[in-house]
Amino acid sequence: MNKLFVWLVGLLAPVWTRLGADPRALKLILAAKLKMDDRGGLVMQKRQGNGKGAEYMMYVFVLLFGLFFLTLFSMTDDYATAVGIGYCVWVCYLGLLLITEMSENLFDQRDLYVLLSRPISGVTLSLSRMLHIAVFASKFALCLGVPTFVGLIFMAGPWAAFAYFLTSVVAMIMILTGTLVLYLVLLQNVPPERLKKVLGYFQIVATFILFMSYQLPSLMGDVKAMENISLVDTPWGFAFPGLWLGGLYKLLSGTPIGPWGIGQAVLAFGAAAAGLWFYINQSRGYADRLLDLKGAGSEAGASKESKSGESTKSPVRDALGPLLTAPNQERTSFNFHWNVMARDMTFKQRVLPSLVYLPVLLAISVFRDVFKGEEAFAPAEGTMLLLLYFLMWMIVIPLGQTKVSENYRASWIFEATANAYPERINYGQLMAVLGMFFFPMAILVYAVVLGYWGIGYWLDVVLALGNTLFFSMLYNRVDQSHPFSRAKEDSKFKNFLPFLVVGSLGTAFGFAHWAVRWIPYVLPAATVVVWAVLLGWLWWMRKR
Amino acid sequence: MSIIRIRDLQKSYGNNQVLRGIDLEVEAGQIIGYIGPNGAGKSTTIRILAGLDGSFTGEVEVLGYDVKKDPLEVKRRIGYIPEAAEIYEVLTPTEFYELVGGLQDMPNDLILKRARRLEDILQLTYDGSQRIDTFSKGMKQKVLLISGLLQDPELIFLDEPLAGLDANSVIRVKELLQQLTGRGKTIFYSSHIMEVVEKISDRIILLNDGRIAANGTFAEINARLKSGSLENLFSELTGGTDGTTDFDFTADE
Repeated sequence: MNKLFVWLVGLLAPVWTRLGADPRALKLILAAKLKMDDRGGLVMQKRQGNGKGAEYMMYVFVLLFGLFFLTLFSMTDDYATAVGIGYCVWVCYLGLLLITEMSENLFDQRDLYVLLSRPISGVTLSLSRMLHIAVFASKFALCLGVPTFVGLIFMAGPWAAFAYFLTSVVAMIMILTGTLVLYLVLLQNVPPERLKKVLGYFQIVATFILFMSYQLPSLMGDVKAMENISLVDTPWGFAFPGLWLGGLYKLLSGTPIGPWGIGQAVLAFGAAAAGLWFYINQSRGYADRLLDLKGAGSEAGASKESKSGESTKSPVRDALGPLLTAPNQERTSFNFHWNVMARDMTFKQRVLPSLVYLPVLLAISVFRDVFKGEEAFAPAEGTMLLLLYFLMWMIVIPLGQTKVSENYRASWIFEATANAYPERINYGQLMAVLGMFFFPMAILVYAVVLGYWGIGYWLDVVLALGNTLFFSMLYNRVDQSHPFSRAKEDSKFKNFLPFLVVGSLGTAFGFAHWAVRWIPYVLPAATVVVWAVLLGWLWWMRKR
Repeated sequence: MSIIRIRDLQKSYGNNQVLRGIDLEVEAGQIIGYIGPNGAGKSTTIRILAGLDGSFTGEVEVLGYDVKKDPLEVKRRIGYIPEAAEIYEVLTPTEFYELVGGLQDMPNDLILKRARRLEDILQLTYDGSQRIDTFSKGMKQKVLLISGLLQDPELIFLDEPLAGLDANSVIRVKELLQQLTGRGKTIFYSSHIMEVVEKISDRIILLNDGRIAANGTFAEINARLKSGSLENLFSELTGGTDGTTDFDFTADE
């Protein structure tokens, strides 16, 4: 696949030359970066896995998402509107995906000295980065677009499908340049020493919006209102860039089109062209600004940082540590995990959006019918179990991310030191995650459950707590490695896999709990068994 | 008594044989300079001796323990500072020492006491809450050195310990190493800075192409080859001057 992209880039050599870039250098840089993407990191001479399984699973998921677009064609006869709505999702999804997954490639300074010391222009450097990101985005765009492309061949003929392909290329340019220009503006206007932090929190917000966007269709209410909807080639078609692309599709596919539609087509094409022009023109000083950014991490920049540096004191950590751990490797591990989780921006970017999103998702699940005005609020016992088992996410997501770090090579220390009790590291890790993420939310949820459904449900709370902890420990055992020892690049979509695992096994735990409630005496018996196993396991961890 | 005993050590990475049969015995209380050209197998040997790599053939004993069978016992008694090692930079130095010492089950007050003394010796100064990511390369190297010495190991493996240090710090580290051997510690030390190796080493082991090419004091090796300096001796034994008469690499174009 990568070779195909590099070959395609080579085919467009005259275009790159016209834009002021060196096509041979572009091809070489891109080929090298794609090779690096495919190779795992190295810690103590041991090669890491490259996380391909999770990546392929993600593509399957996106392909299913792409298949969902076909339902748009059954809702309306106006194919341009159906295509336009599909592109609206493209714009949001791919744009946010680029921000959340690929920002570091845009600001990657590791290769800067290597490339800048060669006779390479700023335009070549910027285009190489854009093409690198384009390859990443194209894989997702293919998954999103292929079902519609195939569908259009049968529904509207090969020419319409070809028009869709051409429009998709314009859509990609529009999305890529839109995202890149946004970053370029940030790079130009935010002081280098603050940019990394601003970028980090910007990504957290973007990831949250990305997760939330998946939920919007479920809140739309009556689907019948969407029947025979027509937005493209009407004044509504100017409302969102995705619909402009619908206008472009209409024009290219040869469907009769009015002045509104032509205006939207021109706007789509113009936005892509202007974005490209702006990016290339503004990127001439790009390398210099990246160098400034690199300087921001050096001694001079650092001393400024340290004066206003974040406090390393943590009263909560110091209070919880002695309560949850013994003063040995458990405490060492607890403090270490707490400190890194509280400070590492990579960890925050990957964990916080999911954790903010999850309570919102829960609220949507519980209150969906009330939002849509279909029913009064009357949650049953099933909702209570949903709430209780939902807390699994609060452990599994941060626990999974305690194995990932930009600074993963530092994990050599766990190999080089004589620790006779490796399980105590896992114990301290679990307790740190429980203390920082699980306990605050669990207290809230258990208070709501006991307050709303009644104190008589205490046994359900105890069993759910036992199951949640047991499941989390099971997950941690399956997904085992040294703390913060996996490269971020090799751990793409690591949040997605826990989603699948919890989604299947976690649901099974929930159903089992629901089932045992119907058989007399089984609920207390199950609670005793689960807690006996759990406490036995914890005891074993602390002794090993 | 030998503190390190190696018999016919061989190690390959795939088809690439890095160590081709090393035999070596090291007595306690010495500074051993372990030198050799790039790719000669120095770091690999040190990793094996430190109990970090058990996939080799031959016999390797460190402090009387078989490194393959008892790597934990070896790690308990040694200090290991790898070349260009990364550290968790979001931590403060104190937090990093607590991690390293804590993993070895050292009491916290002892960790802090030893760390402060070592920081004084190496002249490492910083604000208490300052994180390692704000440090210069030399400061990070000092943190790394201190972390490797915290447990007062009997045998210390150092892989390029002077990388990134300024001239004053190099002097301090040299003094520290000599003080440590004065207390009966053994230092197994790999470096490319020949002047330092020549000056501080009690014994020099030169590795070339996975085999030991020279082993003895500088005087002993020099008496055999009459090179005058360790740099010349290194060059002679590793073929460093072969084929360097014609510097014009474009001559046959």
